[in-house]
Amino acid sequence: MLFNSLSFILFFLPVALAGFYALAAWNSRWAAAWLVAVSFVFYSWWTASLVFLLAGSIAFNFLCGALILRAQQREALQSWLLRLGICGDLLLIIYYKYFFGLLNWLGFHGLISLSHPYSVVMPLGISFFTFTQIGYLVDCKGGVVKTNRLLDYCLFVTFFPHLIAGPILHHREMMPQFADPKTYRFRWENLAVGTALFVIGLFKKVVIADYFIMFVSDAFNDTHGLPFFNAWDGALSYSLQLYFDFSGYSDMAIGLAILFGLRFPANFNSPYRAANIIDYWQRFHMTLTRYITLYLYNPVALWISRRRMAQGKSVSRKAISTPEGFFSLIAFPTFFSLILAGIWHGAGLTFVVFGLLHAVYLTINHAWRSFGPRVPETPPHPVLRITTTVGKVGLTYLAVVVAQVFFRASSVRDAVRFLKGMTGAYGFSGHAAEAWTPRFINPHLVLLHGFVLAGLYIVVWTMPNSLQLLDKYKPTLTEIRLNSPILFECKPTVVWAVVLGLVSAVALLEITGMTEFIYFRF
Amino acid sequence: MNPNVMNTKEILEQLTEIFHQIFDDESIVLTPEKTAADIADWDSFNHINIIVAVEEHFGIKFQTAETEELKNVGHLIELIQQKLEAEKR
Repeated sequence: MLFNSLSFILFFLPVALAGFYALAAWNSRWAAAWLVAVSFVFYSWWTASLVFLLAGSIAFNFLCGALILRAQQREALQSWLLRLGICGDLLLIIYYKYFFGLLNWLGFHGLISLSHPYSVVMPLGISFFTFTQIGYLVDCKGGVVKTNRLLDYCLFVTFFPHLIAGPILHHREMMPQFADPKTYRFRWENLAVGTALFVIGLFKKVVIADYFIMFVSDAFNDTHGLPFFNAWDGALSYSLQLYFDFSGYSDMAIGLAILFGLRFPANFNSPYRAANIIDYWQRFHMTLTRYITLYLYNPVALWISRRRMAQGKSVSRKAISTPEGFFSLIAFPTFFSLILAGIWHGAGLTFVVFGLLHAVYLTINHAWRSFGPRVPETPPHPVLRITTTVGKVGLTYLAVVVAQVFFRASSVRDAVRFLKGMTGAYGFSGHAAEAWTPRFINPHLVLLHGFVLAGLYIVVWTMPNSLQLLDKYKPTLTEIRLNSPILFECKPTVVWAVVLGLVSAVALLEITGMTEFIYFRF
Repeated sequence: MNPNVMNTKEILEQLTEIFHQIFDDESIVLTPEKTAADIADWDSFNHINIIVAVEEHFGIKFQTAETEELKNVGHLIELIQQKLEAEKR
C-alpha cells in the first residue's frame, strides 16, 4: 500500500489509528500487537506471500540476537554468532537484489549460457529491513541492546511508516519509546503535528515530485544527441524530483510515526544548501549516512587508527598531511564505505560509479581541509561573504547533480552521453530538440516550466524546511539546526489552518495512486 | 565515588588538550554542553581521531555503538568516567 493512495489515507490509516488508541486505553501491549498486525497487512498489500519472508527474516535475526545476548561472557562465540547472523542476512539480500542481475549480466556477455534472462520479484524494503536488523545484531554484541522482547522487536522492524524506505532506525532509540506508557496516550498535539507533516510530505510527493516524472523520463530514456538545454532540464528536474520525492516520503513517515505517539530521527535537512560535500551527507538521507558511518566507516577507520597507534605511528593532524597517512586514515575508509553505500542502492555499475564519485568528492574535500590554504570561515566583507557562500553551495550542488545523473541513468554509457549533452557537445537546442521533446513545442509551456524550476530553487535554497517549520513541537529525535526567521514557525493559527487545509486539498485532488516512491526500489 | 577516579574538571582539561592537538587550534574552549555542531571541523572523520586519542590517553576502549551516541562533551566525559571506574574494579 502506498502512502500516496486514497485507500491508505481514507481507509487503512484511520482504522489503524482508531484501533491503536482504542486498545491502548485498555492495554498498551495489545496496542503494540495491533500495530504489528496492521503493519503485516500493510506489507502484504503488495505480494502476500512475501509476508513470510519478512516474518522469517525477523525470526532469524531475533533468534541470532537472543543467542548473542546469551553468550555474553564468551567473546569468541559471540563473534561467530554475529558473523553467522550477518552472513544469513547478506545471503538473503544478495539473492533477491544482486544474484539474478549478475547472472543475466554474465549471460549477456556470453560468459555463461542462459536460455532466457531470469528474474525474481524483489521484496519491497528488503534493503531497509535487512540493514536495520544487521545493525541490531551488531548492537547486541556491542552490549547496547538491553531488552529483547519479541513483540517490541517485531514492532521495531515492521512498524509500517518506516518499513519500506526508512528512516533507518536504531534499536536503542525506539525501544525506550515502545516501553514508555506516554507513547500510548492519545494527544491532540500529536494528531495535529503528525497530520501537518504528513500533508506537507504528500504535497511534496504528488504535486511537486510527480510533476517532473515526464520531463525526467523524456531526457533520460533517450540520451542520443541530447542537446544542452534538454540535458540540463532533465538533470535539474531529476535532482528536484529526487529531493521532493524522498524528503516528501520521509516527512510522511515521520508524520505517521507522530500520529502513533512515536518520534523518528530526521532524514533530511535542506541538503542542497550544503556548502561542501561532507556537509551534504550530513543533510541528505541522514539516517543512511548515520548507518554507514556507524557500521562501516567507523569500524574500518577505528581499526586502522588503532593499528597505527599500536605500531607507534601518529594519527594526529600532522600524520594526515603525509600521503601515506592521508591514504590509510582518510581515503581508504571513505572509498570503502561509499562504494558499498553506492551498491546498497542496487545491482548496477551506475550505482558503483555514483559511490565512487562521492568517495572522490569527499576525499577531495578532506584533502582540501588538510592541505589547502587556511582561509577564515567567514570573510570580513559582506559582499565577499555572499559570493563565497554562493560559490561553495553552487560547486557542491554541481557535483551532486553530476553524480545524480549516474544514479538515474540506465547504464554508465547513457550517463556519460547525458553528461556530454550537458556540456553542449550535441548542440544547444533548435528544431531538432523541439521535435525530440514534444512537450516543448509550445513556447509558453517552456516559459512556465522555467518559472516552476526557478520557484522551486528559491524554496529549496532559501525557505525553511518542513522540520524547521514544526521545530517547536520537536518532530524528530535528532535536532535540526534552526536558521530561519521566527515568521515561518508553524503554529495553531487560522492562517496556518487555511494554508495546511489548502495544501491537503490540492494534494488529495492530485492523488492518482499510480506513482511509487523512488526509494521503494532500493 | 571512587577517589582514585579523575573528576569531571580534570577530564575536561585533558580533553581540551586532546582537542587542541587534533584540531590544531589552541583557541577551542570546551564546555560539557558543546556538541559536534559547535566546533567547525568536528565531523565524522575527526570524531574517529578524537575517539582514538581519548582511548590512548585514558587507556580505555569504546564499543562501536558508544562512539555514535556521544551527544556532547559532557556525555563523553561521563563515558570516560564510567570506563575508568570499570577499569579500577
